[in-house]
Amino acid sequence: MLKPSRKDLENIFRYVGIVLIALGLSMSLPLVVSVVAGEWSGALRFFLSACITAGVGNLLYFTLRSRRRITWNQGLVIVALTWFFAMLFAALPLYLSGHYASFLDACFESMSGLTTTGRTLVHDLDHMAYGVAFWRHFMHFMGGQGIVILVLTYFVAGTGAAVQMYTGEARESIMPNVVESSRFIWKVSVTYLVAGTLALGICLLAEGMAPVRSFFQACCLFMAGFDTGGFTPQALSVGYYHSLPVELITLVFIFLGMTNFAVQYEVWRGRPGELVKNMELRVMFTIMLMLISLVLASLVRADVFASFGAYLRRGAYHAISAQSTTGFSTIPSQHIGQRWGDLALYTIAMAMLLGGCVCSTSGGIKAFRIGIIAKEIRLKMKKSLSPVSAVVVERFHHIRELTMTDVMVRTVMHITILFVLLFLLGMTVALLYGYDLSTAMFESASAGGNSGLTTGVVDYRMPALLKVVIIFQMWAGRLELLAVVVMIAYFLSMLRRGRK
Amino acid sequence: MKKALLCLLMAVVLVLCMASLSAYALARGGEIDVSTSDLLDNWEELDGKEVVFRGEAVGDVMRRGEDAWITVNDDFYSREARLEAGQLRGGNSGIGVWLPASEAEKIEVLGRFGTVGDFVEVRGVFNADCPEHGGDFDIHAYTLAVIDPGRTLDTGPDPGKYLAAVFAIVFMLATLVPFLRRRAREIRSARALLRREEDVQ
Repeated sequence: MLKPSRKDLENIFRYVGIVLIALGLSMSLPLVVSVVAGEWSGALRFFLSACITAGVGNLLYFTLRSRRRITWNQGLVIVALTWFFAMLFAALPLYLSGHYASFLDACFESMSGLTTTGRTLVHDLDHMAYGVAFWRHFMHFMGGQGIVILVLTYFVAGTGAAVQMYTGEARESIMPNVVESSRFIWKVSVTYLVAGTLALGICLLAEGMAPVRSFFQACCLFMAGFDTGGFTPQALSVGYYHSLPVELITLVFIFLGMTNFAVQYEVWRGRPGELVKNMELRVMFTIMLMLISLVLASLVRADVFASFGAYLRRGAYHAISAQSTTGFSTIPSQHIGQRWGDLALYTIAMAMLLGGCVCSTSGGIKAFRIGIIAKEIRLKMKKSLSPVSAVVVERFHHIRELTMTDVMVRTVMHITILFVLLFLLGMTVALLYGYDLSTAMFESASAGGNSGLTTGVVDYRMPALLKVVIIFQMWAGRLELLAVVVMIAYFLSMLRRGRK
Repeated sequence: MKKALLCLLMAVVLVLCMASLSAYALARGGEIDVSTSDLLDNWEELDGKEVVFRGEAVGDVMRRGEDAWITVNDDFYSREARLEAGQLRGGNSGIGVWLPASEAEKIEVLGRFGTVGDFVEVRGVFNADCPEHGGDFDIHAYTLAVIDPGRTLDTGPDPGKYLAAVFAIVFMLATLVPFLRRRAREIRSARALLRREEDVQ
């Protein structure tokens, strides 16, 4: 077994330093927003946070001189640690803003932002400065595409560490070169950002909002929708706008965010047929239809709304918002638990756990893995009905024609089991704190699946341990557990070496 | 005996008070004073009833033809501005209010960063699932009155933060210079290596 040394650790933290420098530089954007909005106090806070973050990054990079080649497991440890340190430093401007009761709450918020979860412990959101509001949403944008991917694109190009770090951030390679893949993801995202902000900005303008606020809020909503995050500039979430066109446009962002970037690359290359043939998309839309039907059935049973339009508008929006792990809401969150019935509550919890596509910005187990599990069950049934000498295989289309292998099934099963364990961990801790089963299940699925929906229990008065567990769930869920599990094993192995 | 009579008298006075209050409320159209938590918890009883809701107008006035949407918050911050009181009491709570645009025009200051919005009182009908707005949770108000005008708050930074910023920039520069020098050296050596390889080829 590997026994990491101090030199290996230096190697790891040197890369963490590079990411912190990038994070510090990224704080210049909200700083500019603060200056433009005339929020001098806010600008100073961002300046302070940027200097500290980049300074610590520089210090790590400068003092740690190890130049060893990054191994596969070190790549994963770098990714897991990067996200942890990014949480700590991204929390600085939030904490200094005075909207959070403790640094732990600010860390909760930054982890929620970076992992595109969208759960919040913010106080008095409706009086938040533009700069801080922008930072909250910009964390979604950076985390959705991948912090490490950002760094890979511009700082670590061409090194052997790139592949490990790319896969560690739960991404499948779109092109043969991971750096090219990273650049493609960022190019697509920035193009969508411009187009989405314009479209939604014009819509908000038509819906009666002032020009500057329209485009600012449109930009924030795009980042939260496309990155399946869930933060919103106003406390009433998307319900604040009371607008069907706004809801429909945010659904378009959500669909783009929850769709595999590899599929989008095929469409960009002029192969729209992939949208129809792709196994993962088929599974995702089949699940989506089932979830919407179940939520609607529950709403009709509970006799919640007066018209069919209202059932479809509210029911479908929340089902899609949950499955994409976005967490946008157009009704008071308490009403999902109180009025919509148990079937809707459990369906939405299930939707958050299942998630969108792999290599997208959404969380959860992902449609590709659900498809593989379904195909494995079908294969077993086929085999049992075939002669012993028959060779039975399962084929499917995912970018190209693929044959299902045992290795593929095993990998899928490992990640699915880890997700279920993560879900059970959160649920058990919530049950220990006295929450009822349905609430514990809903909240745990929401945290592990990186969705922002809540039945109203996520609150600054939550016990500190529960906050820490939710932070862990968000972190592990976003990285699809592998990087975090490897990191824990890596440090345990290091401790064992130290004892010997 | 005296005690019993006194109790009876007090009970009669209490009943009379409550009756007169109810009569007053009925005379005013049976409006019920409500808060957001009342509306969330007792939506079944209050749905379709005429209500009076008070709070701070926040965000935007979104005009839609002859009507407009506003948001009214009745949380802790609607009474005590966070920047002044320095207290944190959780998230915001409020409700969307649909009202004639002419009524919405009475609002002069909206609650945002650096401002305390007008404290308003709206009278209208509460809808737990509004049939006109696709199942919205809202109040359709017919009147709005500004009870307490809004104001601008002092949001300037305190001198301590300037000092901290100076220290931070010194810290960053002290670490950035060696970082840049080192990166430049690395790039130079990589280029030299590349040139050597090209020469060999």
